[in-house]
Amino acid sequence: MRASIAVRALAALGVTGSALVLSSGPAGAVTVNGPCAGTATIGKHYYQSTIPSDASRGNPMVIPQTGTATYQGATKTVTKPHHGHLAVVVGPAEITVYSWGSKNENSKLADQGTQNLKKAYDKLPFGIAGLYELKGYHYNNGALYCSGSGWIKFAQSPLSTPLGIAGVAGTAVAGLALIGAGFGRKVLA
Amino acid sequence: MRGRPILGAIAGLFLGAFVALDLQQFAVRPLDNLSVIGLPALGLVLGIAVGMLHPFRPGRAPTKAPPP
Repeated sequence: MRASIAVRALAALGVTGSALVLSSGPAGAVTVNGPCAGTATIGKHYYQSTIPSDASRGNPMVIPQTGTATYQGATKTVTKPHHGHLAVVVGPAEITVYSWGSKNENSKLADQGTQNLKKAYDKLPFGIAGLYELKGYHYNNGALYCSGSGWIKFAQSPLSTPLGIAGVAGTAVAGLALIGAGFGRKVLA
Repeated sequence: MRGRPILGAIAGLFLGAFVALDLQQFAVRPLDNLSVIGLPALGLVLGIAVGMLHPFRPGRAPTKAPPP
């Protein structure tokens, strides 16, 4: 297995943070804790961890159903052995879509590569669309080295997913029921 | 008592929850605390109000004013 670091995962989905500093931005911006930095290119879009508005809630990283994400990134110090993962926050759960780990025997500080986005989709339990928070974690010798979060938007149409269809249908039914309640028939004498 | 406040409350609660889900699915707003709790709560209040005030009931024919 190639020795890659947090960078690999964090950069792959654009949640890498600014190096050496604890970055904080406006609400909904990318946040990173720890000395990691990176970039990612998905389609025609280029994301940088040092720009808080990239992959923020107002400007999420768009994840198409197919294609690849090209990433590059680095850590400040060597982490070995290391492991980590990326997780999509769905309600109260965090669903891991990508994980990594190695002894990092070559003591790499940086890595770059390409990931197939379909593999990330396949990790999710059902067709998924909409806006989600993405969290990433990287561990150095068992201890958390850096973590981060950002926002992603699955480009799939909501009307093509079970959850999206349920949402629209439920809204219609509940709306009709509310209108029905407004007609005001007698329920108690 | 007239109206359907309980139906209104249930319908409003679910309407708020489904609207929160729609907003998330259409990438307008994530499922954060405000949308998951706030919208259903708002729907609940709206539903009770609609059920009690029954604004959609057929109106009565206006009565003529008494002759002077």
